Amino acid sequence: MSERKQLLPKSSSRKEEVVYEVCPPGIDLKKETASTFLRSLPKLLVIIESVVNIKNMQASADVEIKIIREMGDNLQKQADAFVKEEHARRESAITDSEFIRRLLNDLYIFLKSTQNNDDVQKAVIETVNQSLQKYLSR
Amino acid sequence: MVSFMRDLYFSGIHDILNLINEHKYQEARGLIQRELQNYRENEVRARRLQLDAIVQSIFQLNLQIHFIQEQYRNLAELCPPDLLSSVDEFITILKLDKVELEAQKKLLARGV
Repeated sequence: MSERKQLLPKSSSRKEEVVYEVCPPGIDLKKETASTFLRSLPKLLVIIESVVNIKNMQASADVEIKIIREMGDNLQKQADAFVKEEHARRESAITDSEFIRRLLNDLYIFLKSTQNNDDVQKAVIETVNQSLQKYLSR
Repeated sequence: MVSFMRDLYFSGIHDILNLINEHKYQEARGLIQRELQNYRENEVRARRLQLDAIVQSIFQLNLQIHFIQEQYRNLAELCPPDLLSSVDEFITILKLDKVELEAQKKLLARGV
C-alpha cells in the first residue's frame, strides 16, 4: 500500500485555491443593499402589518375580557345591594307588623276584660284606630 | 437565484406569522368564550340571590298577613269591623306588597 502510494504520479492539474470576495469587484455594496431593501420593502411591510395585526387583536381581546369582567362584577354588586335592600325592607316591615300585632293583642285583652263598658270600649277602639292610621301614614 | 431565495424567505416568514396570527386568534377567542361563560354563571348566581331574597320576603309577608288577619278576626268578635278600618288598610298594604314582590319574582325568573 505504501509502495503503491509512492508510485502514483503527482497530480499536475491540481486547482489552486481561489478566494472570492464578499462583494465582487465592480459592484457598489451600498447601492446593492439599498436596491435589495427597496425590492423587499412591500414584503417587509406585509410582515410588519401581520405583526401589528397580532398585537391589535391581542389588545382588543384584552379589552373585551376586561369589559366582560367588569360587567360581571357590576352584576354581583347590584345583586348584593338588592339583597341588602330587601333585607332592610323586610326587617322594617316585620317591625311594623309586630308593633301593630302587639297593639291589637292589647286591645283584644282590654276588650275581653271590659265587656260591659261600651262607651269606654268605643273610645279606646277609636284611639287605637287613629294611632294606627297615624303610624301607617308616617 | 438570490431573488428567488429572498422571496422564499419572506413567504416563509409570512406563513409563520399567519400561523401565529391564527393561533393567537383562537387563543383569544377561547379566553373570551371562557370569560363569557363566567359572566353567564355570575348572572345566574346573582339572579338566584335576588330571587332568594324576594322569596324570603314573600314568605315573611305571608306570615305577617296571616297573624294580622287572625288578630283582626278575633277583634271582629268583640267590636264592629268598621271601627278598625286602619287594620284593614294595613292588611291591604301588606297584600299589595306581596303582589308587587310576586311580579318582581316572575320578571327575575324570566330573566328580564
